[in-house]
Amino acid sequence: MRLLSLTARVKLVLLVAAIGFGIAAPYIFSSFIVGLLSLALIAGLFAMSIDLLAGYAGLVTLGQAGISATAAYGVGYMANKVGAGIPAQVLVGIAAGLVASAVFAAMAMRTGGVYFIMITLAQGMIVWGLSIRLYQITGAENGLTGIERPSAISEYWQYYYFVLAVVVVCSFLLFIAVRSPFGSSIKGIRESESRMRMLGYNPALQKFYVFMVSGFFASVAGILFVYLNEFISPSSAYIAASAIGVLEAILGGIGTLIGPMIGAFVIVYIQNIVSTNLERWPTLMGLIFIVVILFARDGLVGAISKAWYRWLEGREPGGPGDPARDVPDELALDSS
Amino acid sequence: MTKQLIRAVAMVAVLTLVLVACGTPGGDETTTTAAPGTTAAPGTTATTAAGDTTTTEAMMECPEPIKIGLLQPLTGGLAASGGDARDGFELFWETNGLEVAGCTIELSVVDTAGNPDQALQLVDELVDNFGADIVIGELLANVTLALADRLKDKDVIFMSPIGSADDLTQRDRDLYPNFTRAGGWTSSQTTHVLGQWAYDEGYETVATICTDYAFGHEMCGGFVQTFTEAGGTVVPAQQLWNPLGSTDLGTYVTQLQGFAPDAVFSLQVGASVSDFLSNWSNFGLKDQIPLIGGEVLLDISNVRNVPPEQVEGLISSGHWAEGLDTPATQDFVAAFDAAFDRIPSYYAAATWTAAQYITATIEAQNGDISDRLGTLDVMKGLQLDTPFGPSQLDDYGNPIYDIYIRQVVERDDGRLWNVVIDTYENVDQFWPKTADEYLAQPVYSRDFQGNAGG
Repeated sequence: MRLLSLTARVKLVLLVAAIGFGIAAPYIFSSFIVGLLSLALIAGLFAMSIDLLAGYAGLVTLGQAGISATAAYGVGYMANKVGAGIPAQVLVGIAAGLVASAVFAAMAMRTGGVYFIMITLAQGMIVWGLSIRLYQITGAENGLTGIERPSAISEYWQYYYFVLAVVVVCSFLLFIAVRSPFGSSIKGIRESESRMRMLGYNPALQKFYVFMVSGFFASVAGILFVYLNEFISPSSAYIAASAIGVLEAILGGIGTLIGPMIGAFVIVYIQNIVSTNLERWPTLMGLIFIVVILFARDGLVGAISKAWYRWLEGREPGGPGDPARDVPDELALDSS
Repeated sequence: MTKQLIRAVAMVAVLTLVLVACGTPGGDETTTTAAPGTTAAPGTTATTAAGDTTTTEAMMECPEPIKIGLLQPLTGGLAASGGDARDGFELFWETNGLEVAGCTIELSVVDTAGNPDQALQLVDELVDNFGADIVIGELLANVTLALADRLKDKDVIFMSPIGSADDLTQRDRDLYPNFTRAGGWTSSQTTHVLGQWAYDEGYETVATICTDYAFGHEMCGGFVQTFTEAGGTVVPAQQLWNPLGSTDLGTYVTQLQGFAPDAVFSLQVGASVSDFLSNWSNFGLKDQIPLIGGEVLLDISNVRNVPPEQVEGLISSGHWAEGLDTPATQDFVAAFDAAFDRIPSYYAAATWTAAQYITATIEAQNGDISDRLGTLDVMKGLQLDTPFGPSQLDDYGNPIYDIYIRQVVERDDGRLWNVVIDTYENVDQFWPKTADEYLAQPVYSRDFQGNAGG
């Protein structure tokens, strides 16, 4: 009797390989690439926070950058204008992100579908507008500088390991969250709000909760980002920043959690490495996106796991492979 | 499955064709971009350098190639201006060869998309991977500030020929020891002159409309301060501020009409320029109220994109005047026009001039610029004849220029350009005050416009 199915064993190998690669990266690559890996991990966490809303609760948000930028501005304000220490910076950053999430959630929790998109879009734009107007707090267009990493993790590779650790822990928490009863209840809301209400759930309240959880992880991403760049400006709160997060989630595969992380790596790669060789890199990004939307609706991860299960079926007729449509939600260990 | 594959391939093929079809003519050939991680010179570099080595090899030996990185927005809303900046820069090296004082020059041009976050990622690539000795950037003042902050502790020289945030060479000068504005300008440097000129023209009241961000505040503040200190009047309530990127300025224009001032000062950027100018013209104000512009409003990059009747005859001030009748300017304009079929904007002249400063400095240092601060001191001692006119740096690393009062007129070939109608010689960034006097006041903002009257 096997302890793990073939699928689970493959997943385990991939996971170990990914973590091994993550740990080895600073020994292999230049500081620039390691910096980009940090950026991609942060972008991935940000996209995962969007995926929690979009993929599990069925609530597509276009204002997520507003939350992460609020948290980042909290850090920047404490560092640049107040001159507070690191703990105060982080606490104010998280608090600012959570307050923004609570306000956003309270406004958006009774809506769904396209109305939810429109409200979150407006919320994100409000943060962007405020970041330009509140000169004394945000430095307007010039942004805030003078944000410094704690001395223990000030080197690029130290900070990379710190980001890696935080992102791995956050991912683990997210995986637990979506597999918990709470995760099931928000998936239920995605499938049918009226049935959930009949079962005794309060969908609006559930949406508030999931928005807060998502906002927390977006805030963590925002804070990691502001310490990476040691700079924050309104462009981080702009609609484009939110939209990129949604694109990363869709590209990797919405509702898979690991997909958005992969999508983030692809986008960061194109933005920072391909762009130095190819002047029309935004076009390339658009092309990839179109191809994924047309031919791989479930994103890269969805397409790969579909192909995997199809191959498995052909190999062991009647074996463990389910029909292609039944794609598992997470890259996680089966305990069968 | 096969069907899907064919469809995918067909679509990619079609899109590739579309992509190729709308490529900028000549754009790709002139892009000398080095891949990250490679230190090899790009194609054009290698050929030019190989052609010149025979003549200069024996002259001097060079410790190692000198690497210059240029950060500009080549995609997005600022692509046209950023493209001009890149073209001016590359034209200089194509014209003069990629070898100075026996040293091979290696270039890397990277696209920031006008986004400070992306610029910060890529500048690490330029410094750590490409090994840049000199970094040149960017177009936007906010990105320039972010870059200056990132680069202040790095072993590079940072030049900003375009991004013009005042304080980089004024109140925050000491924060950025390796920064110089060679080839560049401070925003209010040009409008100080314009305020004085407007008063001398006999205007007594002026209303203003400027874009609501640091650059607009500084351009407008420079004008308001010298104009009001000379004796003119700007009523604070008649200073309008439109948001960055706004494209419906009709209501602002009617407000300005209601103020009935002797003249209106305007500074717009990006998409707001053509909207403002067309509204101004369509409301019939062009023949009623004299409009005087900040430099960018009537830069040739904007003038060539609007109907001629909307801009012909308008007056602005600038450190760049493509119609300036000197050999240095006209040679550059002719060369750029021949290469790219358009009259160069100040963005192109700025990066060309920056390259001129670099070349002269490397020559003065005999190819060794490893002492960054010493090299910057040498740069401050230079006196150059640039497309902008005679240029030298002040103690703060900001150029002292002739500032021109310019008017848009038609050329012989039917195109419009700015010609010089008045010149203020040797204007520094503090003109007409002394440095100490000037630095005692805060940087221009919405709250501080230096308005002597109120």
